[in-house]
Amino acid sequence: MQWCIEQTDLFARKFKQFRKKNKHSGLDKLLLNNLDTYLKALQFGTSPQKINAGFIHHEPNGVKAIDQKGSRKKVSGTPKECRLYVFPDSDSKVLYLITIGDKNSQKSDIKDCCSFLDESRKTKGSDHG
Amino acid sequence: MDSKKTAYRGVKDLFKEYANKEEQKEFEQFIDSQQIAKTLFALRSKAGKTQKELAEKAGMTQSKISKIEHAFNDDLSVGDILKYSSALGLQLHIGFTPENLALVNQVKLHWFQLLECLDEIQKLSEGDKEMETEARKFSFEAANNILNGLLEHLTKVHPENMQKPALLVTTSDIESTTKEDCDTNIAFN
Repeated sequence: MQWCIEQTDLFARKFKQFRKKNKHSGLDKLLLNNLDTYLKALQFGTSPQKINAGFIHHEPNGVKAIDQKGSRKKVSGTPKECRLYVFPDSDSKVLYLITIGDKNSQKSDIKDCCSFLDESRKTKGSDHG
Repeated sequence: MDSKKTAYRGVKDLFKEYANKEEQKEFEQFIDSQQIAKTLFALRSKAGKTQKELAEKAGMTQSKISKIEHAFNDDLSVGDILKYSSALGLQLHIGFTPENLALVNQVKLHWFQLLECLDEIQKLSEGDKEMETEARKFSFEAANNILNGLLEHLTKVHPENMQKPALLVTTSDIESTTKEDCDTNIAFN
């Protein structure tokens, strides 16, 4: 079974805003490029916990934060480190895109991730009930 | 939790929702231009090696490994790919196919390559009775797995019209298989 990507409404909204704010920087593409690299490793059957790279940050409860570093593609300006927060669900092989932010929003982004996971557990619980 | 969501096959698929055709094309080229590096990274992850461990094995610096894993296809040398893959215990195979080879032709290509490999295994075993038995066993196992895989695929493609086959050879049948048995055709409904 192949992994697929699903985005939350929060991610969709924030990613649109992110692209608008960073219109000419190419940051969005760098983030998605690293996301693509991470997804490829998942498709090869590697457990999410075992995929390690400079652009992957292991956050609490299995959440991963993917930043834009490493690419040879040049970006304009001196961008802040941005992070794309994802949750790889190994049971369903779905990589959830939860939210996106930068260093300033890190605290609230992690909080959003926790809310997503809580909500997700409740939904799974009611599915099995 | 959000209501039922669209499942995207990958980032290129996802990006279509946000960008116009021109930007999509540029993005797809950007993603495709690093496929070799991404594959190498995925192979290292699967092997459970850190960049540092691989660097030591490959006789490279960690910085070099990182550069390889982020390189564009055009910037990678065959030598670096060979060192990287060898450090993972992998062989590099280089093949050539026509540009934009249609998927249906890829299926045929793989099929013929598969048959060639199976024939080669039989040829190599000739003259050694034990090897011949093992090679024959392997051919039956391969046929079993391939047929089961294809049937599973066909069931997804055409579930209403699929009937179970009359006979499936299992590996437990193989030990009593003789050369004469190999000549028997297996019939399906």
